Amino acid sequence: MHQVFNVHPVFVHFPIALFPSALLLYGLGIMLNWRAACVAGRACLYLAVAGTMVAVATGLMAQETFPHNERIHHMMQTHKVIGLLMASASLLLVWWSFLHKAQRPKGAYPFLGLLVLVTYLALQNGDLGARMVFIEGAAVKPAVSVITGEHGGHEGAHTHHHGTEEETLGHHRH
Amino acid sequence: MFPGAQHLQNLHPLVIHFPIALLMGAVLLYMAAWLLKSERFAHSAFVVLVMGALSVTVAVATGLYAEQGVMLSLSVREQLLRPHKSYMLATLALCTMLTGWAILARPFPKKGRGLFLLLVLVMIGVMTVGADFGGRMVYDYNAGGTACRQPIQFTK
Repeated sequence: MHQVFNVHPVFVHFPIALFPSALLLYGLGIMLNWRAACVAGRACLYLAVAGTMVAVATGLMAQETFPHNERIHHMMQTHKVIGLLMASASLLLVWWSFLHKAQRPKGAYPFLGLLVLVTYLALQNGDLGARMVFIEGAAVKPAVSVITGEHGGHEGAHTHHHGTEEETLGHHRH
Repeated sequence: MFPGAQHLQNLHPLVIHFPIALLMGAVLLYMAAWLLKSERFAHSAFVVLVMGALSVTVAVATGLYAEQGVMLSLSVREQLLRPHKSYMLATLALCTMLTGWAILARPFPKKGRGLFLLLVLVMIGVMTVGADFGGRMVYDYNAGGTACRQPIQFTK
């Protein structure tokens, strides 16, 4: 693990796998009035939210840790916005999950609707992350020269450095 | 709908999130059940373990299918892919055995509970080492990716 550029990829498994699992279990629990499934869904939801928080924190730290070009930078910005949106909505789900009657959340179908949305965001963000890694080579060691354009990489590729907020704004104004 | 997934060389990277997250989640829940003596946690842990067992089977199957097609140099196959496969087959074997045990004495075996918890932790250790080899293939050798040319030879 020490050879990976950052630890973000270690934690992304949790929201990607546990939100769909929570959705499946809550879905079965709500539709079939199956209390045990709601309890397991709740456990998955809390694990997913904890994983999301760590994934968001490590993701925010990771953006400074590897060289990337303008294209990866734009994808990363979208990835960040979706991640923060997902984290906020998932906290709302946690609060909502406490309002329950016999483990069935109050307003069960709107709750399920919000969980569908969060799951969709998690999967879309995972997909965007996969595009960054597998197609663009973000944080992939042998792709650094391609990203920085040293060996004729993407057209118009150049290293993108994060500076201070002021420097960053200045950089984008050019 | 998922353009990244359409570009993948195989399905394996899509599936691997599930066993990693679900089996680790099951361990946390079993630990909580043991420490808090909670039946509710034990039931949740059992459900998550069964889901984890199903997903690790799919992950191993897609991994075995992807093995021949993935673009990697022979040295990387030897140094990383081979141990990755061995560790993950061992994870599948342990997971199958533990899930069987949990089903027979559901949700949380009373007899030999200490051994059950120890073996669950061993399974997580084996899976983590195996997943680390997988991560190195992706991040150090661009396995399954198209960002740079293959073959990339193994270096320490």
